[in-house]
Amino acid sequence: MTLWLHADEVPLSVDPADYVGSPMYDVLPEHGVAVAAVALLFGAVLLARRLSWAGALRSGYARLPSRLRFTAWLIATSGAIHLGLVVGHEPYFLSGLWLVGGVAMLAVTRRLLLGRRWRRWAALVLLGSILGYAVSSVAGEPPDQVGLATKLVELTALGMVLTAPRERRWRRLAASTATVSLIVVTGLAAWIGAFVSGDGGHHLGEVPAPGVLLPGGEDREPTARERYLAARLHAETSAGIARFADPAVAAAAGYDVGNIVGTDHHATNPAYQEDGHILDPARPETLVYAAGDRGPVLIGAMFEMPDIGQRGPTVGGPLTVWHAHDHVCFSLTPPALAGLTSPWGTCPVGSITVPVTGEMIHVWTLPGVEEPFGDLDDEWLRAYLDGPAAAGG
Amino acid sequence: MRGDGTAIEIVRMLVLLQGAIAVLSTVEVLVAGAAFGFVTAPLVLVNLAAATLALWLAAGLARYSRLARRTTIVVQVLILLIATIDLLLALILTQQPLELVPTLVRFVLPITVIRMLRGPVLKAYFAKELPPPPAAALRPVGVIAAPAPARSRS
Repeated sequence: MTLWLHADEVPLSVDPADYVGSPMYDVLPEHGVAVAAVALLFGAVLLARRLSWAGALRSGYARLPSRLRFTAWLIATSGAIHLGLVVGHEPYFLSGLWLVGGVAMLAVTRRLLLGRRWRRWAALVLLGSILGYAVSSVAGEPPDQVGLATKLVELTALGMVLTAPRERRWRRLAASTATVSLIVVTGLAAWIGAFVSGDGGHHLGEVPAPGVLLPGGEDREPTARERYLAARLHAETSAGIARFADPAVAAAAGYDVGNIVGTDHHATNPAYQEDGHILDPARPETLVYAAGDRGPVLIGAMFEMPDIGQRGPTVGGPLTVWHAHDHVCFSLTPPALAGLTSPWGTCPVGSITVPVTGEMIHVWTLPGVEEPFGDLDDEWLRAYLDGPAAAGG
Repeated sequence: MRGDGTAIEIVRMLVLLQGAIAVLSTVEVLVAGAAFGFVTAPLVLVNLAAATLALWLAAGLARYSRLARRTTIVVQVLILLIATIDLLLALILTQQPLELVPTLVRFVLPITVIRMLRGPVLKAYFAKELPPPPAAALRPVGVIAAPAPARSRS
Protein backbone atom coordinates (compact mmCIF):
# COMPACT_ATOMS: atom_id res chain seq x y z
CA MET A 1 0.00 0.00 0.00
CA THR A 2 1.11 3.55 -0.64
CA LEU A 3 1.03 6.07 2.12
CA TRP A 4 0.31 9.08 -0.02
CA LEU A 5 1.21 11.83 2.40
CA HIS A 6 1.98 12.53 6.01
CA ALA A 7 0.48 15.46 7.90
CA ASP A 8 3.93 17.02 8.27
CA GLU A 9 4.18 17.25 4.49
CA VAL A 10 0.94 19.19 3.99
CA PRO A 11 2.18 22.21 2.09
CA LEU A 12 -0.84 24.41 1.44
CA SER A 13 -3.21 26.27 3.66
CA VAL A 14 -6.61 27.42 2.43
CA ASP A 15 -7.88 30.96 2.57
CA PRO A 16 -11.60 30.53 3.37
CA ALA A 17 -12.35 33.39 0.96
CA ASP A 18 -11.05 31.22 -1.91
CA TYR A 19 -13.85 28.72 -1.48
CA VAL A 20 -16.97 28.77 -3.61
CA GLY A 21 -20.16 27.95 -1.73
CA SER A 22 -23.91 28.00 -2.23
CA PRO A 23 -25.33 31.39 -3.24
CA MET A 24 -27.82 30.97 -0.38
CA TYR A 25 -25.08 31.97 2.05
CA ASP A 26 -23.67 34.70 -0.16
CA VAL A 27 -24.61 37.92 -1.94
CA LEU A 28 -24.81 37.49 -5.70
CA PRO A 29 -22.61 40.15 -7.33
CA GLU A 30 -25.51 41.60 -9.33
CA HIS A 31 -27.43 42.17 -6.09
CA GLY A 32 -24.88 44.58 -4.65
CA VAL A 33 -26.71 47.52 -6.21
CA ALA A 34 -29.85 46.54 -4.29
CA VAL A 35 -27.98 46.95 -1.00
CA ALA A 36 -26.77 50.35 -2.15
CA ALA A 37 -30.37 51.26 -3.02
CA VAL A 38 -31.32 50.95 0.66
CA ALA A 39 -28.61 53.48 1.53
CA LEU A 40 -30.00 55.69 -1.23
CA LEU A 41 -33.47 55.41 0.30
CA PHE A 42 -32.19 56.71 3.62
CA GLY A 43 -30.42 59.54 1.77
CA ALA A 44 -33.63 60.37 -0.10
CA VAL A 45 -35.60 60.48 3.16
CA LEU A 46 -33.06 62.84 4.70
CA LEU A 47 -33.24 65.01 1.58
CA ALA A 48 -37.04 65.01 1.67
CA ARG A 49 -36.90 66.71 5.06
CA ARG A 50 -35.66 69.83 3.28
CA LEU A 51 -37.89 69.76 0.20
CA SER A 52 -41.10 71.75 0.25
CA TRP A 53 -43.05 69.40 -2.07
CA ALA A 54 -42.46 66.56 0.38
CA GLY A 55 -44.28 68.46 3.13
CA ALA A 56 -47.43 66.34 2.87
CA LEU A 57 -45.39 63.15 3.19
CA ARG A 58 -43.52 64.57 6.18
CA SER A 59 -46.65 65.63 8.02
CA GLY A 60 -48.34 62.33 7.13
CA TYR A 61 -45.39 60.43 8.59
CA ALA A 62 -45.47 62.61 11.73
CA ARG A 63 -49.14 61.70 12.29
CA LEU A 64 -48.61 57.95 12.00
CA PRO A 65 -48.40 55.73 15.08
CA SER A 66 -45.18 53.78 15.59
CA ARG A 67 -46.40 50.54 14.07
CA LEU A 68 -47.44 52.22 10.83
CA ARG A 69 -44.19 54.17 10.61
CA PHE A 70 -42.36 50.87 10.98
CA THR A 71 -44.55 49.33 8.29
CA ALA A 72 -43.90 52.26 5.97
CA TRP A 73 -40.15 51.85 6.39
CA LEU A 74 -40.34 48.12 5.69
CA ILE A 75 -42.39 48.53 2.50
CA ALA A 76 -40.24 51.41 1.25
CA THR A 77 -37.06 49.41 1.92
CA SER A 78 -38.36 46.50 -0.10
CA GLY A 79 -39.38 48.90 -2.89
CA ALA A 80 -35.89 50.42 -3.01
CA ILE A 81 -34.28 46.97 -3.10
CA HIS A 82 -36.51 45.90 -6.01
CA LEU A 83 -35.53 48.97 -8.01
CA GLY A 84 -31.88 48.27 -7.18
CA LEU A 85 -32.29 44.75 -8.54
CA VAL A 86 -33.52 46.16 -11.84
CA VAL A 87 -30.40 48.33 -12.11
CA GLY A 88 -28.01 45.57 -11.03
CA HIS A 89 -29.20 42.87 -13.43
CA GLU A 90 -28.93 42.51 -17.16
CA PRO A 91 -32.53 42.86 -18.37
CA TYR A 92 -34.43 39.55 -18.26
CA PHE A 93 -37.94 38.42 -17.53
CA LEU A 94 -37.76 39.10 -13.78
CA SER A 95 -36.52 42.67 -14.28
CA GLY A 96 -39.96 43.85 -15.38
CA LEU A 97 -41.59 42.24 -12.36
CA TRP A 98 -39.07 43.84 -10.01
CA LEU A 99 -39.68 47.23 -11.60
CA VAL A 100 -43.44 46.90 -11.18
CA GLY A 101 -43.02 45.57 -7.63
CA GLY A 102 -40.59 48.33 -6.62
CA VAL A 103 -42.77 51.12 -7.98
CA ALA A 104 -45.89 49.56 -6.46
CA MET A 105 -44.28 49.35 -3.03
CA LEU A 106 -43.13 52.95 -3.10
CA ALA A 107 -46.62 53.97 -4.28
CA VAL A 108 -48.20 52.03 -1.39
CA THR A 109 -45.82 53.74 1.04
CA ARG A 110 -46.88 57.10 -0.37
CA ARG A 111 -50.55 56.24 0.06
CA LEU A 112 -49.90 55.19 3.64
CA LEU A 113 -48.15 58.47 4.40
CA LEU A 114 -50.87 60.53 2.73
CA GLY A 115 -53.64 58.73 4.61
CA ARG A 116 -55.24 57.18 1.54
CA ARG A 117 -56.46 53.60 1.27
CA TRP A 118 -53.35 51.56 1.34
CA ARG A 119 -53.82 48.40 3.36
CA ARG A 120 -55.33 46.12 0.74
CA TRP A 121 -52.90 47.40 -1.87
CA ALA A 122 -50.03 46.74 0.51
CA ALA A 123 -51.24 43.21 1.26
CA LEU A 124 -51.63 42.52 -2.45
CA VAL A 125 -48.21 43.83 -3.45
CA LEU A 126 -46.38 42.18 -0.54
CA LEU A 127 -48.15 38.86 -0.97
CA GLY A 128 -47.45 38.94 -4.71
CA SER A 129 -43.78 39.62 -4.13
CA ILE A 130 -43.43 36.89 -1.50
CA LEU A 131 -45.30 34.25 -3.49
CA GLY A 132 -43.44 35.25 -6.66
CA TYR A 133 -40.17 34.67 -4.85
CA ALA A 134 -41.30 31.31 -3.57
CA VAL A 135 -42.41 30.19 -7.03
CA SER A 136 -39.21 31.38 -8.72
CA SER A 137 -37.14 29.63 -6.03
CA VAL A 138 -38.92 26.34 -6.57
CA ALA A 139 -38.42 26.84 -10.31
CA GLY A 140 -34.64 26.99 -9.79
CA GLU A 141 -33.79 30.65 -9.20
CA PRO A 142 -31.03 30.54 -6.55
CA PRO A 143 -31.87 32.38 -3.33
CA ASP A 144 -29.17 34.66 -1.93
CA GLN A 145 -28.74 36.81 1.16
CA VAL A 146 -30.21 39.95 -0.43
CA GLY A 147 -33.28 38.12 -1.68
CA LEU A 148 -33.83 36.38 1.64
CA ALA A 149 -33.33 39.58 3.66
CA THR A 150 -35.86 41.30 1.40
CA LYS A 151 -38.39 38.55 1.94
CA LEU A 152 -37.84 38.78 5.68
CA VAL A 153 -38.60 42.50 5.49
CA GLU A 154 -41.70 41.86 3.36
CA LEU A 155 -42.97 39.06 5.59
CA THR A 156 -42.65 41.31 8.62
CA ALA A 157 -44.42 44.11 6.74
CA LEU A 158 -47.19 41.78 5.64
CA GLY A 159 -47.60 40.57 9.20
CA MET A 160 -47.97 44.18 10.33
CA VAL A 161 -50.46 44.90 7.55
CA LEU A 162 -52.59 41.88 8.37
CA THR A 163 -52.60 42.49 12.13
CA ALA A 164 -56.18 43.08 13.20
CA PRO A 165 -57.38 45.13 16.18
CA ARG A 166 -57.35 43.35 19.53
CA GLU A 167 -61.09 43.00 19.80
CA ARG A 168 -61.16 40.91 16.61
CA ARG A 169 -59.54 37.89 18.19
CA TRP A 170 -60.24 35.32 15.51
CA ARG A 171 -59.14 37.60 12.72
CA ARG A 172 -56.02 38.38 14.67
CA LEU A 173 -55.32 34.68 15.20
CA ALA A 174 -55.92 34.00 11.52
CA ALA A 175 -53.52 36.79 10.55
CA SER A 176 -50.82 35.45 12.87
CA THR A 177 -51.31 31.92 11.54
CA ALA A 178 -51.09 33.15 7.96
CA THR A 179 -47.90 35.09 8.73
CA VAL A 180 -46.22 32.13 10.43
CA SER A 181 -47.28 29.81 7.60
CA LEU A 182 -45.92 32.17 4.96
CA ILE A 183 -42.57 32.44 6.75
CA VAL A 184 -42.30 28.64 6.90
CA VAL A 185 -43.41 28.14 3.29
CA THR A 186 -41.04 30.82 1.97
CA GLY A 187 -38.19 29.24 3.93
CA LEU A 188 -38.97 25.80 2.50
CA ALA A 189 -39.18 27.26 -1.02
CA ALA A 190 -35.75 28.86 -0.53
CA TRP A 191 -34.35 25.46 0.54
CA ILE A 192 -35.75 23.88 -2.62
CA GLY A 193 -34.36 26.70 -4.77
CA ALA A 194 -30.92 26.40 -3.21
CA PHE A 195 -30.73 22.65 -3.86
CA VAL A 196 -32.37 22.75 -7.31
CA SER A 197 -30.02 25.50 -8.53
CA GLY A 198 -26.91 23.73 -7.20
CA ASP A 199 -24.89 21.28 -9.29
CA GLY A 200 -24.02 18.96 -6.44
CA GLY A 201 -20.61 20.41 -6.04
CA HIS A 202 -17.76 18.00 -6.48
CA HIS A 203 -16.21 19.42 -9.64
CA LEU A 204 -14.36 22.70 -10.02
CA GLY A 205 -16.54 25.44 -11.47
CA GLU A 206 -19.81 23.95 -10.25
CA VAL A 207 -22.38 25.80 -8.14
CA PRO A 208 -22.28 23.79 -4.93
CA ALA A 209 -25.36 22.69 -3.06
CA PRO A 210 -25.94 24.36 0.33
CA GLY A 211 -23.36 23.26 2.85
CA VAL A 212 -20.68 22.33 0.31
CA LEU A 213 -17.54 24.39 -0.31
CA LEU A 214 -15.34 23.90 -3.35
CA PRO A 215 -11.96 25.41 -4.15
CA GLY A 216 -12.26 28.25 -6.67
CA GLY A 217 -11.22 27.68 -10.26
CA GLU A 218 -12.52 26.14 -13.45
CA ASP A 219 -12.73 22.49 -14.41
CA ARG A 220 -10.20 21.18 -16.93
CA GLU A 221 -9.18 17.94 -18.59
CA PRO A 222 -6.91 15.80 -16.40
CA THR A 223 -3.44 14.93 -17.62
CA ALA A 224 -2.46 11.33 -18.30
CA ARG A 225 -0.47 11.22 -15.03
CA GLU A 226 -3.44 12.58 -13.06
CA ARG A 227 -5.66 9.89 -14.59
CA TYR A 228 -3.13 7.23 -13.64
CA LEU A 229 -2.78 8.50 -10.06
CA ALA A 230 -6.55 8.81 -9.62
CA ALA A 231 -7.04 5.25 -10.87
CA ARG A 232 -4.29 4.06 -8.54
CA LEU A 233 -5.83 5.83 -5.55
CA HIS A 234 -9.17 4.24 -6.37
CA ALA A 235 -7.74 0.76 -6.83
CA GLU A 236 -5.64 0.91 -3.67
CA THR A 237 -8.55 2.27 -1.63
CA SER A 238 -10.85 -0.48 -2.93
CA ALA A 239 -8.31 -3.10 -1.93
CA GLY A 240 -7.45 -1.38 1.35
CA ILE A 241 -10.99 -1.23 2.69
CA ALA A 242 -12.28 -4.54 1.29
CA ARG A 243 -11.75 -6.19 4.69
CA PHE A 244 -14.23 -3.72 6.23
CA ALA A 245 -17.13 -5.04 4.13
CA ASP A 246 -18.09 -6.79 7.33
CA PRO A 247 -19.04 -3.96 9.74
CA ALA A 248 -17.90 -6.10 12.67
CA VAL A 249 -14.33 -6.04 11.32
CA ALA A 250 -14.57 -2.27 10.96
CA ALA A 251 -15.87 -1.92 14.49
CA ALA A 252 -12.98 -4.07 15.76
CA ALA A 253 -10.57 -1.73 13.97
CA GLY A 254 -12.03 1.25 15.83
CA TYR A 255 -14.66 2.55 13.41
CA ASP A 256 -17.76 3.93 15.09
CA VAL A 257 -20.12 1.84 12.98
CA GLY A 258 -23.21 2.09 15.18
CA ASN A 259 -26.60 1.29 13.71
CA ILE A 260 -26.33 1.48 9.92
CA VAL A 261 -29.35 3.30 8.47
CA GLY A 262 -29.93 5.08 5.18
CA THR A 263 -27.72 5.03 2.12
CA ASP A 264 -25.04 7.42 3.37
CA HIS A 265 -23.96 6.09 6.77
CA HIS A 266 -20.54 7.48 7.73
CA ALA A 267 -18.54 5.45 10.28
CA THR A 268 -15.56 7.40 11.56
CA ASN A 269 -12.43 6.09 13.23
CA PRO A 270 -11.30 8.75 15.74
CA ALA A 271 -7.84 7.17 16.03
CA TYR A 272 -7.26 7.38 12.28
CA GLN A 273 -8.35 11.03 12.32
CA GLU A 274 -5.42 11.72 14.62
CA ASP A 275 -2.79 9.40 13.12
CA GLY A 276 -1.22 11.99 10.81
CA HIS A 277 -1.76 9.80 7.74
CA ILE A 278 -3.33 11.49 4.74
CA LEU A 279 -4.89 9.48 1.91
CA ASP A 280 -3.77 6.19 3.45
CA PRO A 281 -5.85 3.64 1.50
CA ALA A 282 -5.64 1.06 4.27
CA ARG A 283 -6.63 3.47 7.04
CA PRO A 284 -9.24 5.92 5.74
CA GLU A 285 -10.64 8.20 8.41
CA THR A 286 -14.23 7.24 7.58
CA LEU A 287 -16.01 4.32 5.93
CA VAL A 288 -19.34 4.80 4.16
CA TYR A 289 -22.05 2.13 4.30
CA ALA A 290 -25.52 1.84 2.83
CA ALA A 291 -28.29 -0.16 4.44
CA GLY A 292 -29.46 -2.59 1.77
CA ASP A 293 -32.32 -5.05 1.91
CA ARG A 294 -29.81 -7.86 2.46
CA GLY A 295 -27.76 -6.02 5.07
CA PRO A 296 -25.14 -3.28 5.16
CA VAL A 297 -23.05 -2.67 2.04
CA LEU A 298 -19.66 -0.95 2.15
CA ILE A 299 -19.89 1.65 -0.61
CA GLY A 300 -16.68 3.64 -0.11
CA ALA A 301 -14.37 5.62 2.11
CA MET A 302 -13.87 9.23 3.02
CA PHE A 303 -10.42 10.72 3.56
CA GLU A 304 -10.15 13.81 5.71
CA MET A 305 -7.51 16.46 6.30
CA PRO A 306 -6.39 16.63 9.93
CA ASP A 307 -7.17 20.31 10.45
CA ILE A 308 -9.43 23.04 9.14
CA GLY A 309 -7.65 25.27 6.66
CA GLN A 310 -5.45 22.60 5.09
CA ARG A 311 -5.79 21.91 1.38
CA GLY A 312 -6.16 18.24 0.45
CA PRO A 313 -3.64 16.79 -2.00
CA THR A 314 -5.35 16.57 -5.40
CA VAL A 315 -3.31 13.64 -6.62
CA GLY A 316 -5.61 13.14 -9.59
CA GLY A 317 -5.95 16.86 -10.43
CA PRO A 318 -9.53 17.75 -11.42
CA LEU A 319 -10.60 14.13 -10.94
CA THR A 320 -9.93 14.24 -7.21
CA VAL A 321 -11.35 17.55 -6.00
CA TRP A 322 -11.57 17.82 -2.22
CA HIS A 323 -14.45 19.68 -0.66
CA ALA A 324 -15.29 21.17 2.72
CA HIS A 325 -18.63 21.90 4.37
CA ASP A 326 -19.95 25.19 5.67
CA HIS A 327 -22.89 26.38 7.78
CA VAL A 328 -23.17 23.00 9.47
CA CYS A 329 -25.51 22.88 12.46
CA PHE A 330 -24.09 20.70 15.20
CA SER A 331 -26.45 19.56 17.91
CA LEU A 332 -25.32 19.59 21.51
CA THR A 333 -28.22 17.42 22.70
CA PRO A 334 -26.90 14.82 21.82
CA PRO A 335 -23.72 15.62 19.84
CA ALA A 336 -24.74 14.99 16.22
CA LEU A 337 -25.23 16.65 12.88
CA ALA A 338 -28.48 18.61 12.98
CA GLY A 339 -28.58 19.99 9.44
CA LEU A 340 -27.53 23.24 7.80
CA THR A 341 -28.09 26.90 8.58
CA SER A 342 -31.61 27.70 7.41
CA PRO A 343 -32.48 30.36 4.82
CA TRP A 344 -33.50 32.57 7.76
CA GLY A 345 -29.97 32.41 9.11
CA THR A 346 -30.42 30.18 12.13
CA CYS A 347 -29.48 26.72 13.25
CA PRO A 348 -32.05 24.79 15.29
CA VAL A 349 -32.28 25.77 18.93
CA GLY A 350 -29.83 23.60 20.88
CA SER A 351 -27.20 23.53 18.15
CA ILE A 352 -24.28 25.71 17.16
CA THR A 353 -23.10 26.74 13.72
CA VAL A 354 -19.84 25.25 12.49
CA PRO A 355 -18.85 27.80 9.84
CA VAL A 356 -16.40 25.56 8.00
CA THR A 357 -15.01 22.03 8.29
CA GLY A 358 -11.75 20.48 7.20
CA GLU A 359 -11.44 19.25 3.64
CA MET A 360 -12.49 15.74 2.66
CA ILE A 361 -12.84 13.51 -0.38
CA HIS A 362 -15.03 10.47 -0.96
CA VAL A 363 -13.80 7.43 -2.85
CA TRP A 364 -16.67 5.21 -4.01
CA THR A 365 -15.50 1.66 -4.35
CA LEU A 366 -18.58 -0.11 -5.69
CA PRO A 367 -17.88 -1.83 -9.02
CA GLY A 368 -19.20 0.08 -12.02
CA VAL A 369 -19.62 3.38 -10.20
CA GLU A 370 -19.65 6.23 -12.72
CA GLU A 371 -17.81 8.86 -10.69
CA PRO A 372 -15.46 7.23 -8.20
CA PHE A 373 -14.60 10.57 -6.52
CA GLY A 374 -17.62 12.76 -7.18
CA ASP A 375 -21.28 12.56 -6.35
CA LEU A 376 -22.70 9.12 -5.91
CA ASP A 377 -25.91 9.03 -7.88
CA ASP A 378 -28.75 8.05 -5.55
CA GLU A 379 -30.76 6.23 -8.21
CA TRP A 380 -27.73 4.26 -9.35
CA LEU A 381 -26.97 3.31 -5.74
CA ARG A 382 -30.52 2.16 -5.07
CA ALA A 383 -30.49 0.09 -8.25
CA TYR A 384 -27.18 -1.42 -7.19
CA LEU A 385 -28.49 -2.23 -3.73
CA ASP A 386 -31.56 -3.89 -5.22
CA GLY A 387 -29.51 -5.84 -7.76
CA PRO A 388 -27.65 -9.14 -7.47
CA ALA A 389 -24.24 -7.47 -7.04
CA ALA A 390 -25.14 -6.30 -3.55
CA ALA A 391 -26.16 -9.75 -2.45
CA GLY A 392 -22.67 -10.51 -1.27
CA GLY A 393 -22.84 -7.68 1.25
CA MET B 1 -38.86 56.25 15.54
CA ARG B 2 -41.28 57.84 18.00
CA GLY B 3 -42.39 55.37 20.62
CA ASP B 4 -46.06 55.03 21.47
CA GLY B 5 -48.37 52.28 22.68
CA THR B 6 -48.67 50.76 19.20
CA ALA B 7 -44.97 49.90 19.32
CA ILE B 8 -46.01 46.76 21.16
CA GLU B 9 -47.42 45.52 17.85
CA ILE B 10 -43.94 45.81 16.35
CA VAL B 11 -42.43 43.81 19.19
CA ARG B 12 -45.20 41.24 18.92
CA MET B 13 -44.56 40.83 15.20
CA LEU B 14 -40.81 40.44 15.68
CA VAL B 15 -41.30 37.77 18.34
CA LEU B 16 -43.89 36.08 16.10
CA LEU B 17 -41.22 36.05 13.39
CA GLN B 18 -38.86 34.28 15.78
CA GLY B 19 -41.58 31.76 16.54
CA ALA B 20 -42.15 31.11 12.84
CA ILE B 21 -38.41 30.58 12.33
CA ALA B 22 -38.45 28.08 15.21
CA VAL B 23 -41.36 26.26 13.52
CA LEU B 24 -39.27 26.00 10.34
CA SER B 25 -36.32 24.77 12.42
CA THR B 26 -38.52 22.00 13.80
CA VAL B 27 -39.36 20.92 10.26
CA GLU B 28 -35.67 21.08 9.31
CA VAL B 29 -34.63 18.94 12.27
CA LEU B 30 -37.28 16.38 11.31
CA VAL B 31 -35.85 16.25 7.78
CA ALA B 32 -32.30 16.03 9.12
CA GLY B 33 -33.47 13.29 11.48
CA ALA B 34 -34.72 11.26 8.53
CA ALA B 35 -31.28 11.59 6.93
CA PHE B 36 -29.16 11.02 10.01
CA GLY B 37 -31.23 8.36 11.74
CA PHE B 38 -33.27 10.40 14.20
CA VAL B 39 -30.39 10.87 16.62
CA THR B 40 -31.66 14.45 16.69
CA ALA B 41 -35.04 13.52 18.16
CA PRO B 42 -34.45 15.59 21.33
CA LEU B 43 -33.80 18.61 19.12
CA VAL B 44 -37.26 18.26 17.60
CA LEU B 45 -38.78 18.59 21.05
CA VAL B 46 -36.48 21.50 21.97
CA ASN B 47 -37.38 23.40 18.81
CA LEU B 48 -41.06 22.65 19.14
CA ALA B 49 -40.89 24.00 22.69
CA ALA B 50 -38.98 27.08 21.50
CA ALA B 51 -41.59 27.75 18.81
CA THR B 52 -44.43 27.34 21.29
CA LEU B 53 -42.70 29.64 23.78
CA ALA B 54 -42.11 32.34 21.16
CA LEU B 55 -45.71 32.24 19.94
CA TRP B 56 -46.97 32.34 23.53
CA LEU B 57 -44.70 35.30 24.27
CA ALA B 58 -45.98 37.13 21.19
CA ALA B 59 -49.54 36.70 22.43
CA GLY B 60 -48.58 37.68 25.98
CA LEU B 61 -46.78 40.83 24.89
CA ALA B 62 -49.87 42.05 23.07
CA ARG B 63 -51.75 41.73 26.39
CA TYR B 64 -49.02 43.71 28.18
CA SER B 65 -48.18 40.71 30.35
CA ARG B 66 -45.22 41.55 32.59
CA LEU B 67 -44.17 37.90 32.69
CA ALA B 68 -44.11 37.83 28.88
CA ARG B 69 -42.01 41.00 28.83
CA ARG B 70 -39.45 39.67 31.29
CA THR B 71 -39.27 36.25 29.62
CA THR B 72 -38.92 37.83 26.19
CA ILE B 73 -35.97 39.91 27.34
CA VAL B 74 -34.28 36.82 28.83
CA VAL B 75 -34.89 34.86 25.61
CA GLN B 76 -33.45 37.67 23.50
CA VAL B 77 -30.34 37.80 25.67
CA LEU B 78 -29.90 34.03 25.22
CA ILE B 79 -30.30 34.41 21.45
CA LEU B 80 -27.65 37.13 21.47
CA LEU B 81 -25.28 34.99 23.56
CA ILE B 82 -25.50 32.02 21.20
CA ALA B 83 -25.22 34.32 18.18
CA THR B 84 -22.09 35.81 19.68
CA ILE B 85 -20.56 32.34 20.08
CA ASP B 86 -21.35 31.59 16.43
CA LEU B 87 -19.95 34.97 15.38
CA LEU B 88 -16.70 34.28 17.26
CA LEU B 89 -16.46 30.82 15.68
CA ALA B 90 -16.96 32.36 12.24
CA LEU B 91 -14.35 35.04 12.87
CA ILE B 92 -11.81 32.54 14.18
CA LEU B 93 -12.33 29.81 11.57
CA THR B 94 -13.15 31.82 8.45
CA GLN B 95 -12.03 35.35 9.33
CA GLN B 96 -15.43 36.49 8.10
CA PRO B 97 -18.44 37.86 9.99
CA LEU B 98 -21.93 36.39 9.79
CA GLU B 99 -23.88 37.04 6.61
CA LEU B 100 -26.67 39.58 6.15
CA VAL B 101 -29.68 37.45 7.15
CA PRO B 102 -28.10 35.90 10.27
CA THR B 103 -26.98 39.38 11.34
CA LEU B 104 -30.53 40.70 10.95
CA VAL B 105 -32.23 37.75 12.63
CA ARG B 106 -29.73 36.99 15.36
CA PHE B 107 -28.44 40.44 16.29
CA VAL B 108 -30.58 43.29 14.92
CA LEU B 109 -33.90 41.63 15.73
CA PRO B 110 -33.22 40.69 19.39
CA ILE B 111 -31.47 44.00 20.09
CA THR B 112 -34.49 45.85 18.66
CA VAL B 113 -36.88 43.80 20.80
CA ILE B 114 -34.85 44.41 23.96
CA ARG B 115 -34.49 48.14 23.26
CA MET B 116 -38.19 48.57 22.61
CA LEU B 117 -39.28 46.54 25.64
CA ARG B 118 -36.86 48.42 27.87
CA GLY B 119 -37.78 51.80 26.35
CA PRO B 120 -39.62 54.27 28.60
CA VAL B 121 -42.94 54.23 26.73
CA LEU B 122 -43.52 50.46 26.57
CA LYS B 123 -42.04 50.07 30.03
CA ALA B 124 -44.71 52.47 31.32
CA TYR B 125 -47.46 50.53 29.57
CA PHE B 126 -46.26 47.25 31.08
CA ALA B 127 -46.00 48.88 34.51
CA LYS B 128 -49.65 49.92 34.07
CA GLU B 129 -48.56 53.54 34.54
CA LEU B 130 -50.27 54.29 31.24
CA PRO B 131 -53.57 52.85 30.09
CA PRO B 132 -53.34 50.59 27.02
CA PRO B 133 -53.52 52.56 23.77
CA PRO B 134 -57.05 53.14 22.52
CA ALA B 135 -58.38 50.54 20.14
CA ALA B 136 -58.46 53.20 17.43
CA ALA B 137 -54.70 53.37 17.53
CA LEU B 138 -54.48 49.69 16.68
CA ARG B 139 -57.19 49.76 14.05
CA PRO B 140 -55.76 49.16 10.61
CA VAL B 141 -56.36 52.62 9.22
CA GLY B 142 -53.75 54.81 7.59
CA VAL B 143 -54.11 57.97 9.68
CA ILE B 144 -55.45 57.79 13.19
CA ALA B 145 -55.67 61.57 13.54
CA ALA B 146 -58.01 61.87 10.59
CA PRO B 147 -61.69 62.61 11.25
CA ALA B 148 -63.73 59.49 11.87
CA PRO B 149 -64.75 58.18 8.45
CA ALA B 150 -68.19 56.92 7.64
CA ARG B 151 -66.67 53.45 7.09
CA SER B 152 -63.31 51.91 7.71
CA ARG B 153 -60.65 53.01 5.24
CA SER B 154 -58.80 49.73 5.58
